[in-house]
Amino acid sequence: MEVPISFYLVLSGLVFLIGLVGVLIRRNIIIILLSIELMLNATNINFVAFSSYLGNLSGQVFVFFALTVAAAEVAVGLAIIIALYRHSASINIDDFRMLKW
Amino acid sequence: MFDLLVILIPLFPLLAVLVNGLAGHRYSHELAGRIAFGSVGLSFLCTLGVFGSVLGNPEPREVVAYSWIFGGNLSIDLAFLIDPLTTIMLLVVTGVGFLIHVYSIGYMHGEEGFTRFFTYMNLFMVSMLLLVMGNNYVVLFIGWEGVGLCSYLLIGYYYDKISAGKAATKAFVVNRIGDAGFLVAIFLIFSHFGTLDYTSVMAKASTLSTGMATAITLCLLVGAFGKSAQLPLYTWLPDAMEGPTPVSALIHAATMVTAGVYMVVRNHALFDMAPVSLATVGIIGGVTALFAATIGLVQNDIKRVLAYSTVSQLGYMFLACGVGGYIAAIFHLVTHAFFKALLFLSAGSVIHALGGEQDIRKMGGLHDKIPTTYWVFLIGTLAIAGIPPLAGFWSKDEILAHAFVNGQYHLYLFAAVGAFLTSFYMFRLTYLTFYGSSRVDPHVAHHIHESPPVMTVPLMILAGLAVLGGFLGVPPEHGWFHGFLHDVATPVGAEHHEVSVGLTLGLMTVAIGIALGGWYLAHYMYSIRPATANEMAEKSPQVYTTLLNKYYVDEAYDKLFVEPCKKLGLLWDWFDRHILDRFVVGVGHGTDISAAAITWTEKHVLYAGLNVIGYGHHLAAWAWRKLQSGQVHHYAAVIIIGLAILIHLAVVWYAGGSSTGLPTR
Amino acid sequence: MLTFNLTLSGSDLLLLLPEIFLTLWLCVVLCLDFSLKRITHQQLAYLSIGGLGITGLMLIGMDVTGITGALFKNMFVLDHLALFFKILVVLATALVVFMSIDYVRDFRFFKGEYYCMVVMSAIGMMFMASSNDLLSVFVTLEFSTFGFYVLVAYLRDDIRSSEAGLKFFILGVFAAGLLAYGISLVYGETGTMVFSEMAGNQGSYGLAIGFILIFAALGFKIGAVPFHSWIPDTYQGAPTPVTAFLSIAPKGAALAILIRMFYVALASFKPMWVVVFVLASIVSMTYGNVVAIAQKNIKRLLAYSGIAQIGNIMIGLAAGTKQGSDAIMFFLLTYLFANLGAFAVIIAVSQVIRSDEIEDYNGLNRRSPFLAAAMLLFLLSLAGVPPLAGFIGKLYLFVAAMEQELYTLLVVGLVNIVISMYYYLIVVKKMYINEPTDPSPIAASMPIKVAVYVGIAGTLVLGIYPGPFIDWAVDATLMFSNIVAPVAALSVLPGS
Repeated sequence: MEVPISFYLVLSGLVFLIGLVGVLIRRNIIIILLSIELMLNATNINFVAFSSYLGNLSGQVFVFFALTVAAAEVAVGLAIIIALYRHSASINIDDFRMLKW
Repeated sequence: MFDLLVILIPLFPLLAVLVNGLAGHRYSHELAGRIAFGSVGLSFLCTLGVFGSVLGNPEPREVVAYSWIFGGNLSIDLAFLIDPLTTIMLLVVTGVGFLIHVYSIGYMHGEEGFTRFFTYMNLFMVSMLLLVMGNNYVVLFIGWEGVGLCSYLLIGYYYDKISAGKAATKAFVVNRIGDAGFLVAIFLIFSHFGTLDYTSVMAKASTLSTGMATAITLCLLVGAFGKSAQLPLYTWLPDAMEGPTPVSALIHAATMVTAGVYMVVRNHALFDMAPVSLATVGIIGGVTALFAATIGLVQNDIKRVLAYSTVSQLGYMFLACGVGGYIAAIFHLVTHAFFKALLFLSAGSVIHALGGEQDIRKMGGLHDKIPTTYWVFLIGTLAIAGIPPLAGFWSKDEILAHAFVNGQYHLYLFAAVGAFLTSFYMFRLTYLTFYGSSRVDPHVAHHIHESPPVMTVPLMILAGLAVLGGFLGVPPEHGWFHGFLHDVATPVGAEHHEVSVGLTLGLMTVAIGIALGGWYLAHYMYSIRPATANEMAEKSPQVYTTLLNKYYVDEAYDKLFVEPCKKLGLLWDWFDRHILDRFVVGVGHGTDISAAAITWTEKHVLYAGLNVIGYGHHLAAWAWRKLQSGQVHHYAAVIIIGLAILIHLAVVWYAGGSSTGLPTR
Repeated sequence: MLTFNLTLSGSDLLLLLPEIFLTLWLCVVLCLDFSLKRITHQQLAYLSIGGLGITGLMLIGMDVTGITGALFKNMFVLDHLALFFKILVVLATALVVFMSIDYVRDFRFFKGEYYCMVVMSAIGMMFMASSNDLLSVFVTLEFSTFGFYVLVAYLRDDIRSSEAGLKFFILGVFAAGLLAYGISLVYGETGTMVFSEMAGNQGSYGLAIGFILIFAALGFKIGAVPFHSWIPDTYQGAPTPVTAFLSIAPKGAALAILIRMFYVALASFKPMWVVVFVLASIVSMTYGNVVAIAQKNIKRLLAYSGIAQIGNIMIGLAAGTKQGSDAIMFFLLTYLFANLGAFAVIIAVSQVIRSDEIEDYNGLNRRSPFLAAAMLLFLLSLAGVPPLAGFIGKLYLFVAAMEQELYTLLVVGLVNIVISMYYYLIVVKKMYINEPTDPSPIAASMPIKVAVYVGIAGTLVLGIYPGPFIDWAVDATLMFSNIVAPVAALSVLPGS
């Protein structure tokens, strides 16, 4: 039995929302990064599903690029987190609110 | 040749700005001063040349100095319009400006910021010249903003005085309100006429609908009232007296503040299409003339009395515009420039002699100590009070006559009472300053000295102008002045009221009576029975304190505008602390969101409401910035909320349209 | 199943020549940095500027000779629009490098890499200007932003820089997530990622939501309310030359994409996005200008002023006509000179007084008349005072809105000009009226002076002789000349 496209969309929508809420409510920077990864992966599900549904390869190609971008993101992100950790021995995002107003 | 002369008029002061501004610190004050007044003098000579040419050929002529924006589909030239109106304004600006520059050399002598002062003054001259010479609204606007900027910088010239900084800011803020109106007017004109050139706009003015004409002119008026300190935007002008006295004379009496009047006259073709606007001009002008005069009655700072008198005299000019007496308005503008510059500069001479004292309660008996200053000040007083045959009499009488002949008796009444008060407070000022017993601080008393010739000579020239200037407009309605301006400042389509000689003479007699009455009352109260003034103040203390506190207008503005802003800040602050913050937290912790949210909102909103007062001390007027809390979560939440709104918009947009889900294969 | 069939010929490569050249040059600079022990960071900086200069000349040459075309199945287009924005980016980058030279001297390490990062971001933005397809939008946008993440957090020993980097990073990748999801929706609805193939689509909920998500990511890039929140904090914490860079180059590149996307791909649902832009413009202008009044730090002030200026720019997008895009492009040029000039002055001042507080600009006129006068000029241009460049830029934007009868927007814009003058002139007042606490003179170094002079020249020339530059912008968008506004469809707009 073929799985209808809407199943994939609902799945990706849920994963995307979980990521979104994670960014909003979690305080640990690494978890926030992971939440963002979830958002990107939701996107990938979408692309693969659409690609297969539409019979068009561009979606699959996009996934490759999205994966690459996500990897690069983690590299930069971790570097920034380490720099911050050296200053304040914390990766709780609430501790970084010097710049405001 | 003519074109070159015209272009040179603003060019000389501009060169002086560049030279003094960029290299002024390399040479002496003396040289900087010479460059400054020399440049204005050269401008004045060019103006005389242009004047000669215009006398021979009064047709409006356009001089394009530079084709400015010509890319795309928009073209605006840096173009000048030379017609009799511009020429008159040019003569006033460069002539009076030149005298004030010369005077300033003496007045500002030894000041640390001498070069800076003259750079700003010359920059002001450039801007003012652009303002009066421009042939389109953009050039007018450049000048308009330029004079505003210079006024701001010069009011705050004494940077070590806190009050000067505050006054500068106030002038700035009030003028911004005016500018907003002015900008809207410019865009309305452009959208309606498709051009910003005066000549084309005026030619097409009769095609305007009354509604559009009213909208444009009312917006223009907001600008004019801001710049020319009329009700309700006048409060900045008295405070602007914190600047050096020559600045008060040049910018806040003779030239910049009259820009609003000039603008109305320049656009009279538009105003003539809008009776409502004309009525507004007349009423506001008349009320301001009277209102400011009453405040002037009791002020004790010599410059502030003159400042309120300026507001009041500007009111007369607007009143004249309102009854279609554009020529009378310009005539009064010219004579006012003479005698008000004279009064300010001689007041400066008094202040100079007393080592900076401005309070008239600490003056008195100065007439024999500084005789030249006394005589010129007296001439100025006689002129502004309307004693014939001095300048002020002719111009003010013409405005009164215009109001009367046009049947605007209420305006005539305002103006007549105002004239009486003017005569009274000016002679009060003269008596308190120059007569009676000396109340001067003994430490200062033996330093009193007459000002040097560099200051007194310009005073004498101005005094001469204040005596003779009025004869330009004699006989009333048929003088040289009227003939010269007839083509450019006559109301469109108005029938001419032929006034009988008897009525003219009758009105003149009344005006003279009013002026002499004011004089006599002042003479009685401050010379014959000096105690009267105090007795009256004691008898009706409410009236006195109300006047002394300028009807509490500043306080009212604080209550009306500043306080509500703070309240708004309070609301925002509260919203930020309790809604936004809790919202984010709430979403995070709400396991059973639908049920919890309701109890949560009640609890926290109530709680917050009770605590608003507690947080009161955290308030700043600018609580909006609290939205920028420094927390990444809030930022992300802001993004999400914004997105939600936009998506909502998009969905609503499509609600009625096609709602296909996915394209079918 | 469709297959990709990519072939590149020599003449195709010509279209990519500036990017290829700059990439190779960047590699050379990087190699020189770690192979030659004695090479100083100044030499590296001038090498970078040289490379940028040659790239700029190439771009100008291509623009003049009209070398245009498309590559990779229309993913990459080189037209006059792209060339305009590439030249803008290269010019901004070169000026930023000039400004950085003094600043980088104080770094303890990684001096050479700094310039490589700057140039790398510039390459990313050049690609952005050419992207004509959602995939290349995603990749080039991320490419250029990665450079900025690193640059913002470059001052490793300064916690504010790291914090700014963190905020920028988290929100940036968050926006990237939104962008990718939006692209996936659009792809699913239309079956294509190329802008020109989407044109004429009738639209649906999914498409609308997808494009709003994409707009959010691009709005994040340009700092439009409500996607602006990273701007003030990042501007304040980042190294000042990076702030200067952020304030103009990515905005230009993102606007190139916005113009292309909305004018080409979304032309058929213009009535919808006009509403979006009108709202975003009004909110951005008002929020930016009002909050700027309360600022104490000059970089933050310029950050809020930047939010407001983006509001102004969106007036052009709200007009949605060729005139609107012309006005945006010209305005960006004026903004480039005034804003970079202002940041150059800030760097010159902060190099001496080690502070960005507006309070410390008291009496600048007496400490350095040149810097004060330059700052005055830049601020007045930003405020839109005639006859400076900013005035003409705003004039064109407003005229474009007026022709579309967006009167509400127009009035809000005019009122905002008036508000903005207030805070710009607060700074002027501090410089010219207030007494300096420390009267010692401030001298600017040669490279910064170069940047300031270029800023002054640009601000004056664009103000006094704007004709050729306006024509340049007008000619760059000839392809939009047939766009007409469905005015009747705008009835949902407030005030129309």
